[in-house]
Amino acid sequence: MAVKESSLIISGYGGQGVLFIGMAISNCAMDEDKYVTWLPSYGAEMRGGTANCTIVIANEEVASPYQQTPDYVIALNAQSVEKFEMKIKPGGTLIVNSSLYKGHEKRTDINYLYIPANEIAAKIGEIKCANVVMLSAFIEKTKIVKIESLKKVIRNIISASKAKLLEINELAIQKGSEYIKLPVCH
Amino acid sequence: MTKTAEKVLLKGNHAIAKAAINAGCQCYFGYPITPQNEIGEFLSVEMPARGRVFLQAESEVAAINMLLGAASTGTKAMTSSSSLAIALMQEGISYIAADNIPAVVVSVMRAGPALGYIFPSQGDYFQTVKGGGNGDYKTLTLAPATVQEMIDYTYKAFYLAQKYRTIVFLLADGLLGQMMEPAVLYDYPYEEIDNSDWALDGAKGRPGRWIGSIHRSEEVLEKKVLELFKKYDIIKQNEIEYKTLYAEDAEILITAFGSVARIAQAAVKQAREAGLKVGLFRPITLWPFPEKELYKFATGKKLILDIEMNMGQMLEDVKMSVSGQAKVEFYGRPAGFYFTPEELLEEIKKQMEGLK
Amino acid sequence: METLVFQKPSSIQKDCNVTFCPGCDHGVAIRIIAELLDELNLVEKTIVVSSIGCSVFLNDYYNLDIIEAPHGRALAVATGVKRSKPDKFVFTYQGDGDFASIGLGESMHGLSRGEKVTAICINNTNYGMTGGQMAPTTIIGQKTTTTINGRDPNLQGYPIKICEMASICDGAAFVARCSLDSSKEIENTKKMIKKAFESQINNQGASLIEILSTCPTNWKLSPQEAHKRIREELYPVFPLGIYKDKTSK
Repeated sequence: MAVKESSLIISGYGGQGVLFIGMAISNCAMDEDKYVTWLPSYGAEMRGGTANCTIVIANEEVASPYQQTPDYVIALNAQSVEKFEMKIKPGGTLIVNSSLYKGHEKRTDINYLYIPANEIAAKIGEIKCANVVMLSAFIEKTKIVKIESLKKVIRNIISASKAKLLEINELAIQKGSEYIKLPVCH
Repeated sequence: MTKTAEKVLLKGNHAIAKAAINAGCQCYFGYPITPQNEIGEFLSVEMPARGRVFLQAESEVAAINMLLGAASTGTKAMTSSSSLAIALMQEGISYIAADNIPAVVVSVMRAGPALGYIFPSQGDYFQTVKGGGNGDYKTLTLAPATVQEMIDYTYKAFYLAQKYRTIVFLLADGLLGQMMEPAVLYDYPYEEIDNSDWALDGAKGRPGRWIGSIHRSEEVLEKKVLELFKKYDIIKQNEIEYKTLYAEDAEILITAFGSVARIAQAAVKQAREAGLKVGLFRPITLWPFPEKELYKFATGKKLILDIEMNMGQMLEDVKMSVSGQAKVEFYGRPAGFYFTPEELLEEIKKQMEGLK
Repeated sequence: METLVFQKPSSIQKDCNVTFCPGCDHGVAIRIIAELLDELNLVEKTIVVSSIGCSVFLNDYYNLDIIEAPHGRALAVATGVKRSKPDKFVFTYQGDGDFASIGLGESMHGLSRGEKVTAICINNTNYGMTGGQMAPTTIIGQKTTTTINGRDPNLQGYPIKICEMASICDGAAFVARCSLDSSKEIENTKKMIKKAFESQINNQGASLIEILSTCPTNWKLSPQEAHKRIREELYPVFPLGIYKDKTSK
């Protein structure tokens, strides 16, 4: 069996929940018996500006958790687009939080997907869920893991005592995946 | 081994800390340094919760000597650190080795020399395997390549330390420490070793015991060192560990350890798919180095290609082991430049061209 | 009926071959500690941390469990011993160079953490074992092999005041400086060590006893002259007394 491997970088401001959704999708992959690695940017970088993590999902042991040319980038802010747009593999996809980025596309050999994640999150009453909206849209679009897995993982991570928070995150998953199904999103 | 536990997504540093707890580690002493801080942070909560000792030392020098003190009482104990700070521990490491007491040191390498930066690196192979402390001693060194192996070899480190009353290094790097990967945290699988015949616990109903390294006669000092090396011979006979992939019929045999070995493994698979006869030899014990085993596999090969995230350190052991049975080339980068399998495959192809 | 009036302390090695120089106070310090271990019934639960210097050969004298610490690291090693075996009685035996020069960090941190251990620091104002070089405690004007014209504060700075420094450590329960220059002072030193040991037994914190001691060989003085020097030259710089006592509170 040939190695099938997908790499994803998730990037944004510290506090946008970049590492969290990275762990969430890694858990989804694990639950689906896939091989997966999650690697954060660490050290001085984690104390200022942007944070990012790299996720590699494969059908056998991941060779390198570090990827310079990812298949996918989820960019939660403008700086992240600037940092990673040129690094994506040809044929790859840049998923942009269009609420925070209004720039022009620099490449013709990758796909662009725009999600107004902050607006969607604000509508459901919790701007902090923009990260989950982005992840959900990404999963719906790429089918790298199942949306059902994400729902399960989020339920496991957010304890029962925080019912309200869980409800909002479940709503964020729903809205993110619904947005992808809208004709406007192509 | 009883692998009944569930698979969980674990950070490498947390895997070490959790395995240390399962292994029965009673005391942890350490000083903060990236990229291994999660070990200390985790244990600062989990050790006291179990009535065990977590102590943030005032320096790495103090930490290794606290470890020496705890080890002298036969207590399972460990420290963890990185590169330039492991350098500070070398005197204590030499004492622990000379004293024949069990201790575990986790080294999560970062890029040097000197302060360098927190990028992953393999630049401390020499520091660990060849020792930076004084005198004739060896440090048993285990090099994991996955988060699962961080657990497996942390367990083994505690076991071998107790079994041989020796210092054992778990040698990882910033990448293995920081990454998350699914792993199974099973129960500590090894037997407990009785230490009542040597550990310090107060001279009750027996003569006092002295654990020390000073010997005022050449004869006694020589005897002590020879005894130490008799023990090392036994370790060499029993504990050498390595893995191979397509090594038998390969024309080019790659040697790599730790996290680089997992990338090399992918490159080897890609090479095989492309019809290239490439294999991998991965030492897991860096000391004792699998000299005879590598010699055997290297004999008849067209080329041995050693790949490391440094300027060529294990390379010297590889060359010594191969003993002229095959040509040895090196490919490496310092300073945290992580290889991709594709990059390694290119290098393999280039080397193959060169052979024609 | 026979009455036993004198007995060697039980923790002193049989056929103990003392290798200290004639007139050196180390032997006295080692002896009174051994007496106290008997008096306080501590022999069977004691783990001693030896250090580097003339104190390194402790195992030649004591029939006790002993771990040798690298130079300066006695308080760190003692921390490891005590934390792993909190029910044991742990003391270090160090010189002033070990305690206050190379080991100042470990010493101050051990005291500040309030480790339940006792540090015995023999202060003889020079590096005895290596041949009499300047120590952190060498007093102004004192000639050593590395200050042949006498310690000059403009060049070598001032001596470190061990007890004064230790006394500001909140974790220290009992800190005292004493001397072995007369039988009266020997008696007093024993009392001070006893208080320090008791503070450990009662879990009150760290304790330190600094003992002004002779080094006749390197001072190039007779034993009598050496004790006279302690009284005349060292007392003014290093006053005897209790510097910290939290044991009665």
